[in-house]
Amino acid sequence: MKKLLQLTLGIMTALGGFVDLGQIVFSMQAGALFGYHLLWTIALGAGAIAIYMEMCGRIAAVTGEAVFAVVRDRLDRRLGLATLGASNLLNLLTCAAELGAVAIVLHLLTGINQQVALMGGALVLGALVWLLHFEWIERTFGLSGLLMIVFAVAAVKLRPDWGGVAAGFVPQLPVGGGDRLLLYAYFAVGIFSALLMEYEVHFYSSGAIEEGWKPKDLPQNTIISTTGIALGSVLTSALLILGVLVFLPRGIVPDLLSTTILPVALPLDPTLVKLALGGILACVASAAVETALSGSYNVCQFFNIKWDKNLPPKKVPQFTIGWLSMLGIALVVALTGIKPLTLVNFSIIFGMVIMPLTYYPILKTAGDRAMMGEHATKPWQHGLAWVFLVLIVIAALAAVPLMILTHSGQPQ
Amino acid sequence: VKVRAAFALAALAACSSNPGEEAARAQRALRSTEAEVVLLDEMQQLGHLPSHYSNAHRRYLQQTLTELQKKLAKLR
Repeated sequence: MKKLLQLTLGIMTALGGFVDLGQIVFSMQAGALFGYHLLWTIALGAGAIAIYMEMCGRIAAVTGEAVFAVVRDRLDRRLGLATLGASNLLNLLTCAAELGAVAIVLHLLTGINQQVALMGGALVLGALVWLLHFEWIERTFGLSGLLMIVFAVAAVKLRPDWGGVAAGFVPQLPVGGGDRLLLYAYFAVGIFSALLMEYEVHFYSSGAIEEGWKPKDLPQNTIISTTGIALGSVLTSALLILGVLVFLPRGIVPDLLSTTILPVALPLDPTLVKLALGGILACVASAAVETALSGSYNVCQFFNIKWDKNLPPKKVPQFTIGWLSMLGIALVVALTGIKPLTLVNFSIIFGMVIMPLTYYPILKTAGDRAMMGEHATKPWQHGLAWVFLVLIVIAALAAVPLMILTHSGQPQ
Repeated sequence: VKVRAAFALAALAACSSNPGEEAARAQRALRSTEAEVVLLDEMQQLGHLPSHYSNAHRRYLQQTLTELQKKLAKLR
């Protein structure tokens, strides 16, 4: 049972990391606009994050160092500081967007005023993080996120064309050129980026250290990261399939978080619709917690400040002030009324731009025999990681021009 | 390099924004939202939606429709 519960780190990281607000809406929009044609981007992104998440867990288990200690040691000091600043700005924007999404889902579930839900939601999340030990945080959010399986059930019940689904995993260009091609490229980059959001590796590697992983835990690292990512990929694919089955034939391009619930209501009853809302709530709350904690983990790791979520908050004051500030500032940003989806779209695209600066140091450290000894990355994995890094760099260069040219993915 | 990149992006932004295209985008979004209202009505008639959800989502859709109609009126 304990071994099974250990999977919750991978599940929480993957669900909060890539089945968050941005990905939920992005995937359904991709299905509504391009049918099954973009499923391959989910497989590609899942492959990339699987390789890099495993490397992060391995580095943490062997050297006891998390991502931002690695970034500090591998990059020039100024570049390292710039990466820290940019990553934490993105964590803050994402946290604000996810808090906004928590308020929307609470409003949809209970009818409670959205501003009240926003403040109440942030307060409850803050209290949970304050009170719970790390393993209980991951268990609470990881297990409640499993409610998202309702989306997969709905997708299967609507009987997709499985041949079309399988064909979607082979990269192909859409029919029609010009603007449609640009839009396709924007969604391909967006889905790839959302699957690789930096805070996933920040949180996962910090979590590995919180749990005290040692080299003997390396098989567990592979199982945990793979299970979480496999589940996240299936759910993301289910969201895209629902977009194809429900929205594409009706000419709907979902642009609201609340719209993403409608496909579940088509084949299922209101109780399951409520469970689906509960699943979304768990994922967006999970993402808010991950980004708030990651912000503080990053600063502490970069400046070598003591951090440990399992210690009482007063024993690690700077770490505690760090995540409380992240949550507090994110709440203020969310209270200004900026649409959560606008915020999260920006963080996905700009997250892509700085992504190489997070993933390159991980690749170099994991392959360093002097540091990792016999646990250094195997040549085949190292080669694959380089291929993914090249793809990340190409996507990073294309992200902002595509966002401008497609007006953040708005079809004509 | 940074300055050149900033200029290139600004030029890209200037080239890609014209009122005709913006109106087409708003029109498409309006059609999509109207189709969603029809879908919501269908779901509600089937009794598949919890009441808080359908009320709140309908309000969001009405809000979106109003915003898009205003935007289209401005562009025309």
